[in-house]
Amino acid sequence: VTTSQPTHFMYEIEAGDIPIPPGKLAYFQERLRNRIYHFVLSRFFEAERNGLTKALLARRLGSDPAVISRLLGAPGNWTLDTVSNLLLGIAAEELEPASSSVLNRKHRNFVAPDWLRTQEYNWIAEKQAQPLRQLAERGGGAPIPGLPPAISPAPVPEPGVHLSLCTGRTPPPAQFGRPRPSRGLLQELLGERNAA
Amino acid sequence: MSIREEINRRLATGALLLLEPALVGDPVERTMLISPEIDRLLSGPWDTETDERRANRLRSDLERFVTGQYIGLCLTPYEAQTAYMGRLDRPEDEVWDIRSVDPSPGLRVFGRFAEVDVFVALTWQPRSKDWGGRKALRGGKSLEWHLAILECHRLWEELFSGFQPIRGGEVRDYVSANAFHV
Repeated sequence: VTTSQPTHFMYEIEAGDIPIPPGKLAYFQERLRNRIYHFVLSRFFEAERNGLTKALLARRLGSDPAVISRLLGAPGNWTLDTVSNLLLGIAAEELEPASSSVLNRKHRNFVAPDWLRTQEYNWIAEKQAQPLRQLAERGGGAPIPGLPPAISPAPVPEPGVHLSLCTGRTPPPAQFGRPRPSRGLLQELLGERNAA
Repeated sequence: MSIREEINRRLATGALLLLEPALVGDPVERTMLISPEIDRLLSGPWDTETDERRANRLRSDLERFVTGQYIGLCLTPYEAQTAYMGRLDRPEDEVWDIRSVDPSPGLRVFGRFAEVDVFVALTWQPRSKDWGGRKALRGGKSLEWHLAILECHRLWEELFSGFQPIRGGEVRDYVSANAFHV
């Protein structure tokens, strides 16, 4: 399945002269942490196939095996020092500073299993395009490069219709919290479940 | 009717969405389908910049699954500790959570595996303190945990009534590559 991926996430970053939203800064911070974790872990599993153990790594780094297990379990508390120690202990390597542009990256071909019909409707792409489309409308309708064609909006739901997740293309309400079944109902269900 | 057809029906109606990496060109090795309520959390709008930052860190954490990065899975309830995903009590219910632990509040995304490498993320809740209009889960055996798991069941039934999530006893029964047991 080949589909286009939304490029709008990069809008402020690409613009070059407007503030980058804090959420996007946070996204890239977490992304870096996760990618370094993945890299170090791949080096660890490679070394493990050649005989390295967590206990040996702990001995080499003068650390407790439980600490090594925790560090390799999740990237939560890693610092640059952690990365340096682990890479040195695992593979006698150091991280080579390099960076690459997050813009103008090549589209990938594979985005989902063949059976998944993702090209029919890209809801996330549409949602991310909405603020830009509104911006274009306010600015006299000048086209914004890369903006996908608008998708006909779904009918405006009656109040309460969005409480069901299965009511078709109903746009989700613009609120952070969620409607949920009442606590009482869930507790009742919980009681039934426990009785069963 | 197969669960694949059911998933496609839900995608077509917007009842499920495909989580794609934010950056063009990132690898896609696994599939995560998210409910509109998780999409709302990831896409905003948010009440504060702090909330915005937290939600985007969660997005990055969810993309770890999609992009095929190494993830730790724990099949035994209450022992997940550093695991990225944990199977919750009761194991036979096959409800899992994805754990985005940093920064506070930690967030838990609940869902089930429809197939190997295909996770359906249905609902979420903060772990340690109330956040985003939702109550904290707190301790592992709290009422809130039970309610969150039940809610996950309910949402699955709404979407896939009659279809069961996959079941297994090993990590590879759920994730085919770059996954390890915690």
